[in-house]
Amino acid sequence: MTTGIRGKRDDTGATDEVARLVGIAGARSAPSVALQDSVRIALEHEWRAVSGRRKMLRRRHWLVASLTLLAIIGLGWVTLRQASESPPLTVAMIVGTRGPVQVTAAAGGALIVAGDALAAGARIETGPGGAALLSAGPVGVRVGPNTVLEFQRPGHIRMLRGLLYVDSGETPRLDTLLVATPFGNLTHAGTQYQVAVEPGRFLFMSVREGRVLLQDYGRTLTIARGEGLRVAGINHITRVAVASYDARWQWVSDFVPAFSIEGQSLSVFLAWFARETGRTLVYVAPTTHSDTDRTTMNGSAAGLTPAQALDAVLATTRFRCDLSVPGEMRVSVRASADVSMIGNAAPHSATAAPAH
Amino acid sequence: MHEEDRQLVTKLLAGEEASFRLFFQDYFPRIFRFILRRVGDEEAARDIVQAALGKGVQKLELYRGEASLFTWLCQIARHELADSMARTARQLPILRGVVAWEDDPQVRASLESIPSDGDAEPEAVRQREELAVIVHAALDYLPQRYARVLELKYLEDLPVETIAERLGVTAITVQSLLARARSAFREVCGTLQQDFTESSRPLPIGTGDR
Repeated sequence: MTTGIRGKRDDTGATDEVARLVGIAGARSAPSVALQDSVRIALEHEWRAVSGRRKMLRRRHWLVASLTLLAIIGLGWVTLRQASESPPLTVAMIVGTRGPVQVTAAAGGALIVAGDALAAGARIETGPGGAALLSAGPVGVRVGPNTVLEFQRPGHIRMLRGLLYVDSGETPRLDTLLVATPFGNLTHAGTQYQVAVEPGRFLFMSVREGRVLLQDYGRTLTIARGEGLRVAGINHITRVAVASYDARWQWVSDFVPAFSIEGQSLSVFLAWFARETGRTLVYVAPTTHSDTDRTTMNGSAAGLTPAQALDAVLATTRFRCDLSVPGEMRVSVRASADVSMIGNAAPHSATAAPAH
Repeated sequence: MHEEDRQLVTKLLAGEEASFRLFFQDYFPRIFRFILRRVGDEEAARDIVQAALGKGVQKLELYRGEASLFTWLCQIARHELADSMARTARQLPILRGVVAWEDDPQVRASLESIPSDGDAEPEAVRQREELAVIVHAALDYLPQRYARVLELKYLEDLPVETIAERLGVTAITVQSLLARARSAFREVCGTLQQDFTESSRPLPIGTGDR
């Protein structure tokens, strides 16, 4: 291309059209100082307003962030404070007590009212003739006389001495309750069992239903239904047979949680009695079972022992119960003569009244 | 990303005094020339530029550095110019001797016969003015340290050592700066040349040293 304009040679020795064009174009015009000043003043005003607003917003953001942080810290503090002030975790409920019973809560004070909750760290101590009924979650616990227990945490009882009965219900459950004794830790698998502890002397336990594991001295011993185990030291273990209706279970039946008979069928009540007394329920005739199913009970058996409740209930029905065979309860229909003695009791209803 | 421009904007938003001085000195004359080339009237250009820069300052938080700050401000100025034209119901003036070359491909024709030093015919003078507009626009588009070093070297014809003294850098730095500035100038012109798609004739600018 021929333009007639010579290119300039720069310090590198190169002839550059850029140099030529810049040279031809000359200096760029600049706005006058007065014009620049007028625009600058207006623009500076605008800029200060914008940056000022931004600073204010930033301060506001910091303020909001700081207040939020403070609120979070405050909330956390209040939560922690509430947590520290909230009552300890409930580990058991008192269902009922009889005789001398002292319950000491972790925070001090005595709780001996049915329905009270026992918190972790609570200690229960029964005197001669004393007894307590407790529920530890799904597990029923009966405390015999001269017993000392500590509820260390949910599902964990430390037994120092005395007599304890555990009933985890008819549905097998694993490790729902651990009883720690000076002779080892007891866990169970769907069971009824009792344990007696004499500190420094022995532990004796017997299983009425299911099985129990005793872990001591690094070993695990299994105690099955109908068995009893006496442990007097690491090498002093004796197994014996303990029938489910053995006299050793008598104290358990003396003080039981009330069975609510109102609206229940007679068959359910009979099953409860059999379980509470360690007997096998036998219906003499197949129809008897179905008949007891259809018999509905009214009234209350509160305050009655199982034996008293059975007498009260059966007195108003046409059924009889034979307890003469050890370990069994045989249910049958009364003979006609017996039935006529019942009086006006409705054939399909039973009534029980508590003994006062 | 135009990191330097983003940093300048950040400082502006933070209220840093020096940044505003730099911003005004660097961008006002260029935007002013950008608008003046289109309206041909200094008073009108001033009003438009003042409004455009005011809006630009208000929208600084929206600047992300994807385009250069100058391009971003030019875009705002274009809108402001269009609004101004709509408000005053006037058309872009047809300027004597000065062409808004970015908007008129016809200006390309003038580049075909850049007059020689001795050519003093009226047509030659007009063409020289048109070329000046183009070159000045290209210089305005460049980062200003590039434009400045090109002007010092090729307009004021200063030796590299003197330029180094003026800019407070070494002679080697000036040489490097000049090389980058020339390259950038060609690139800007090349980009601008693409805008002249209606013309088949290229700008009289090569792509490298000869």
